This record gives sequence, structure tokens and C-alpha cells, in this order.
Amino acid sequence: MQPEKLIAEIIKEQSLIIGEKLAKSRAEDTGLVSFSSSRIEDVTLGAAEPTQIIQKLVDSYMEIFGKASVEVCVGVMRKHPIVEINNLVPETLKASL
Amino acid sequence: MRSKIALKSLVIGLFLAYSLWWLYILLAAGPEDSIRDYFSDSYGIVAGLGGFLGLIFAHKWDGWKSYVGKSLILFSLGLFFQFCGQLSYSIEYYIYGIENSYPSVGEVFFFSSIFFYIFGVWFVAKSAGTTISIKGVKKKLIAYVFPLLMIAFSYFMFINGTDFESYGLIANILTLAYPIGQAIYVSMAILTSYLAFNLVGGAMRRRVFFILFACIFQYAADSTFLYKTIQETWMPADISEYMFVVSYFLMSMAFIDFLAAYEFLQGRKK
Repeated sequence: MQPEKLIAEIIKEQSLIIGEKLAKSRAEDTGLVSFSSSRIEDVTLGAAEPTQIIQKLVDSYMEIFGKASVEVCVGVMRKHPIVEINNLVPETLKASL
Repeated sequence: MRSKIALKSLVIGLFLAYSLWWLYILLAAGPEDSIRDYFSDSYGIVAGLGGFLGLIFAHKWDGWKSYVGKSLILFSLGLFFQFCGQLSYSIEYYIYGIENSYPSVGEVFFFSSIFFYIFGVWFVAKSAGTTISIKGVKKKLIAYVFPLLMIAFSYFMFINGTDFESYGLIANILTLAYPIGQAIYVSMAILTSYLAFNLVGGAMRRRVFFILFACIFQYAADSTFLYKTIQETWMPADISEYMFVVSYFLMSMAFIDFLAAYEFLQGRKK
């Protein structure tokens, strides 16, 4: 699975809770995620390992609702077979899947 | 930033003005003094201001497109409808000379506000992830049994013993529906607080509990008003009315706090 797709799904899910503006802004705050258009799907990743980017993204959302925000991210990952996303999921979150 | 301080000052100033006014009434006014009516007919402005601000702040959270935005819109409408309910009764009294005509148009607003609070709490619960955290027998049992207990409590406190034959159909429906509706939103607020306790953290933790507390306080005000009305001890500007002032103030401050959280989270750079 492409990391961009999983990351876009996480941002979309967060935008349902906190709104698109803040969800995108928190993603951009990681310094590793940007958007080439106004659409969440057009996400561009910085030069880092996907696991590192996802970890930073989850940490950024965690600052909003804490563990509840992490659960939302994990919920998105759970929708995919583990074999498809195993190389994208940070070690800290693997136990939650 | 400046506008936020100005809005906060306006809300706090209005609350302090009504607090001082109420204190004056408590210490110096007699039971029939018209100053009580002026207080009683005007404090809804605190709710009107809060509701108006909440609707504006909800747009920051993408309005109806997000759970947080939805909860702010619904709570704001609930608060604004409290203001409209009071305004309706004031118009009836001051313009048409009708005094305390229960049930009246004002009840449409007061009663609707209960639904707004119920769905407002529901979206706070969804934002906080508590609707998906109801796992395990104990939590499920609490989630189902607690609201039923609250409804039973409301029934015995406010409905049991009512002489339904003395009133019309609408008044009877409202006698049943008010305590039950209020029991539903307060039990949801308490349940959400319980489920969110170990789940919600971050910048929103304090804000989530604050808005839920404001909701619980509104229930305390509603219940005190109902109790005093049933006991026939209610009078304008009594403690139940001041409790409404406090609850409207708390909800308004919760809205301002949500705006502050948004600005904090939006502006924070790593």
C-alpha cells in the first residue's frame, strides 16, 4: 500500500472530527507532509521513512484529543489487512492493531 | 487575540453585572418588587450572546463538517433558543399584557433547546471517541442502565403525583417530556465524562470536561426551577434563575475556550 494513501485516509478521518482546516494544518506542522492542492488526497510526503512520518502525524493529532486521537488513527489502520500496511505502521502502534 | 480578550471581557462583564444585580435583589428587594421581573425577563441576554458567539466560533472548526463544529453549533442553538424562549414570554407580557401563559410559544424554544443539548453532547462524545469506547460488559451496562436510572429519578422527582386531569394536553406532554428530555442529556453528559476520563487528553481534555460540566450545571438549574415550580415556591429572580445565569455563562466560556484551543492548535509549530 502506498504511504500517501494511508496518510490521506488518516487525515480525512481526523478532518471528520476536527475539521479539514485543522486536520491539514496539524499534518503540515509535522514538517513532513504537504498538499499539492486543496484536496487531502493530493498529499506529498517529505524525505523520511513512512513509519516516521506516520508516527509524527499521530503525535501531532495526539496533541488534540490525546489517546482518543491515536485511537482514530489506529482505527483507520485496522481497516486494512496487516500485511498491506505492516511496513508503514510505527512500532509503537503495532500492538494496538 | 485582542478580539478574543474583548469577547471574553464582554461575557464576563455581563455575568458580573447580572451577579451584582441578583445580589442586590437578594439583599434588598421584596418578593413583589418589579426589579425581580426586570431581572427575570432580561437575563436571557447572557444566553443570546453566548449562542451567537458559539455559532461564529463553530465555523473555525469547519462548522457542520466536523463533529466538534456540529457540537458547538448544536449547543449554541440550544443556548440561543433559551434566549428566544425568554424573549417570547417577555414579548407576551410587555406587548400583549399576557402574564405567565403556560404553555405558550416560548415553550417551543425551551423544549427545542433540549434536543439541541442532547445532540450537542452526542457530538462531543463522538469527538472524544467515547461512542466507540463502549466496550466490555461493565461499560455497556453503565451506558444502558445509567440513563434509565436518571429517567426514573426524574420521574419520581418531577412527574410522579402530577394531577394530569387539571391541565390540557400540551401542558401534560410537556410535564412528561421536560424532565425526561433533561434526564437524557444530563445522563449522556455524565456518561461521556466517565468514558472520556481515561481516553481524552491533549489540548481538548479540559475543554471537553468544561463543556460537559456546563451542560450538567444547566440540568441543575432546570431541575431547581422545576422543583420550585412544583413546590409553588418559585418567584422571579430566585436562586433557580441565577443558576440559569451561571449556566449560560459557563457554556459561553466553554465556547470561548474551544476557540482558544483551535487557535492554539492551529498556530502551534514544531
